[in-house]
Amino acid sequence: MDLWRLSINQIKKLIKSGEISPEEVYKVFLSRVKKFNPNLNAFITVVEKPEIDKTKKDAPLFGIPFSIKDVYMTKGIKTTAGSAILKDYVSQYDATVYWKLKQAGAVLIGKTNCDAWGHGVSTENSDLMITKNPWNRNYVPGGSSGGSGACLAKDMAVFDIGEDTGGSIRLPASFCSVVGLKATYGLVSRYGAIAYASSLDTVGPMARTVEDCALVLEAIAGKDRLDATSSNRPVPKYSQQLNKNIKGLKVGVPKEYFVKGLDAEVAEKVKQAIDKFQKMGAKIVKISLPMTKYAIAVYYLIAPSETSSNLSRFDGIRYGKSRRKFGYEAKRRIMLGTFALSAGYYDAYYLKATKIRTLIKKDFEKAFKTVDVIIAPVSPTPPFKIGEKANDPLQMYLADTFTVPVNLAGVPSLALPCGFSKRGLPIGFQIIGPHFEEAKILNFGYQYQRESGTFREYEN
Amino acid sequence: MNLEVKKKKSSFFDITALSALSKLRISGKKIKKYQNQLGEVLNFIRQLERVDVSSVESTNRTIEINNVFFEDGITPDQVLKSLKNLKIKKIASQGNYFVTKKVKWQS
Repeated sequence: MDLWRLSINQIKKLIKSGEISPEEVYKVFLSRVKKFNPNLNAFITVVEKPEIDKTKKDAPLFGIPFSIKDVYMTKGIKTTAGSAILKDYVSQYDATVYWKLKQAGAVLIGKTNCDAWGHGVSTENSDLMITKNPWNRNYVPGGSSGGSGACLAKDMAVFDIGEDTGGSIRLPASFCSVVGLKATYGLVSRYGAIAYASSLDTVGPMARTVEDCALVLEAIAGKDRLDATSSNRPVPKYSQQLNKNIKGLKVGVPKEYFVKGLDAEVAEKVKQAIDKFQKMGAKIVKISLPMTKYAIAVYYLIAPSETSSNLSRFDGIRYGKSRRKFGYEAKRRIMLGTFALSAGYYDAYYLKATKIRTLIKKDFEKAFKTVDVIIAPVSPTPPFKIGEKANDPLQMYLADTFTVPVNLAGVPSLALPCGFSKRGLPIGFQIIGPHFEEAKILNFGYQYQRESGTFREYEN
Repeated sequence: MNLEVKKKKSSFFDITALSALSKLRISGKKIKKYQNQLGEVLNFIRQLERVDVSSVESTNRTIEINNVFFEDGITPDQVLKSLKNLKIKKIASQGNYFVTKKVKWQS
């Protein structure tokens, strides 16, 4: 039996029946980390001695090995944010999401690489190392949670916690053929996450199946008194709402996401996914999200503005090393944000961007009056080659074209695989829902995976 | 909408001034590189000039969160009391501000 192929529920069942111990489960996944990580650079830190809390044996994720993006505080373990400044920084406390997972019995196997401070779409901006795509090591795994995507693609953990500010969960999910959920802003506490852009940052699960994502989400979502922006809505049992019939429900397909410049293979695979939903009984409705064309420009004013403020705390005195250690991309974004917030430019750039953000949010609100969910590509292209866009930041930023509108509107979106390009590179699509309707998009995703599979056919 | 971007001549960025404002040190050849790249990004961003936002409110958060306090509760009286305890020089009788001792910055 290939234990590493099993889902959360399957592993739980084996542990509960005594057929296997949590230590044995951990060893299986650790051996895969040792086998694959040296060629992929998915992990910054590997936890060799697991903390298995035997008092949690009835907890929902007892004995399940997981990884976490290296932007979350984990007391006593290094937290680098993929940066040279925090290369040797050891967390002084636990992020709420990590604390909740420990309470749920899950076992940390390691912390995954990312673009430094979350600034990037390829993980090439990590100050520590470049993560490679497990499907073809000459290609990027997406970013900024690229280590998380690569880790799951090679089954080095059962699930991962990523962070999505402009697509950082969904893009690696799409490029690595795994599932990633960008949750509604405020659904999961951000306490203990190293902030990139505070009005956009969201914490979410990544996994190999939609069902696993649902199980993790119900363990980490909910009000946290340490994060004033966390929502106090009750958290549903997402995993128990995965068998709802989608017959008659309306799927919106926005014309602005199928335009010139969209790769033909991506367009074809996403259209096949849409057809699959139609065959399952959903009604396909053409819609328009007209402000989509401004989303990248708005995002690259708001996010750098917020990051220029958030990163000002890294002064070389309180945390980590000197500001000279900021990488090229971090400096670029800090200066862009400083410019947008400076006297004389604030109204024309930052303030205007926040107003257009209102229009983008209204686009989604209007659309969700007529459709249940929206389906769109995650990325305009399949994964690109390492170094291909390294010297062209604008082209790199455009990889976020279809993901940033979701963050600006604060709505949830589930990215999941729908096929491969002729070169064998993964292609994904996203299911976008109204605020706090994670149960609905997870159900749509679950129905799709039940019909189409998980697109994980490869030799390990 | 078209995903293919035509690049125009870069807008001018004063990298020396911006880096000083950002508490970053940028020098030599890197100034020119940043100038070109940020100029291109700014040109792209300038498409926002076309959007009329004269009657649009700004969005700083996407879900309803206003005046969030800890569960033990905070009242204006408590705030005033704590400010008095901190020996704040003067609490304005009108307006929502208070006056502190002058802070002198010595370089």
